[in-house]
Amino acid sequence: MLDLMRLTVVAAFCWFVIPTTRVLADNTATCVARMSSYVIELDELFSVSTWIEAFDKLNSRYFPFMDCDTDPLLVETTKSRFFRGITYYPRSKRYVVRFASRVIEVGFTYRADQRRSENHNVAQAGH
Amino acid sequence: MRGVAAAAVLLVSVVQTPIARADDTVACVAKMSEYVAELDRLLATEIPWYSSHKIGPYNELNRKHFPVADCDGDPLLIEASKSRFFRHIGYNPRAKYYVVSFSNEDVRISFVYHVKERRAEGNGAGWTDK
Repeated sequence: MLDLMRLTVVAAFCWFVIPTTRVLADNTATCVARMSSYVIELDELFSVSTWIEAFDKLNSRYFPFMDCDTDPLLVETTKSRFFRGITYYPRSKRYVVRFASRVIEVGFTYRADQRRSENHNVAQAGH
Repeated sequence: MRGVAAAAVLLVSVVQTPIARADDTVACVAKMSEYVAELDRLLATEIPWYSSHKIGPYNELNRKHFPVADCDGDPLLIEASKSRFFRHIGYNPRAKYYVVSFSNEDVRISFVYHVKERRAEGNGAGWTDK
């Protein structure tokens, strides 16, 4: 009887604790909101500036993105007027997102396996 | 007790069989490997620009090897990327599909992998704009 009670307590603990941990590790709603805000600011900047440092500054305010589901995050990037495409590398499970005007290129990598962004960069277009 | 064990075994085999049948990834990867070998042979053969009818074998090749169904995406895409003429995998996150393209600078050819349907389909071949 005591064993049965112990088992019930352990099962209840697992039931409540494991889903909570999953919810804490999933930051998708915040990520999407932040990416949406980033894309709006990026589009504004593309329209008014060709100064690389301004884009670097913007990137350092928003990156890295962590614990996001890949697709909702990537869908948000496609809403930019300056979105140029997503390249996928299946061996490393990396998605590389590119934005560009005629003058400036901006990009970042999202690692689906680690659920985090890396290597955000800004460069002169054509380099 | 024996009855319970037998029921458990039966349940496990009944539940697992449809899952095993629905996942054809190993066969898909083997098929993709065959496709890549044939495609590489074809793309290694130079086609003069004025022989536009010679694009036919590429479309035939895609018709022969696609569609492939019930495959995991990554193993299939990794196999495709082994081609000498592999160029790029683009992703559309809204429609959830990957476009894999190959080219020898004269001809370009591609296929699409649909994530939800777990299925790859051939695209048409064409000349590059060089």
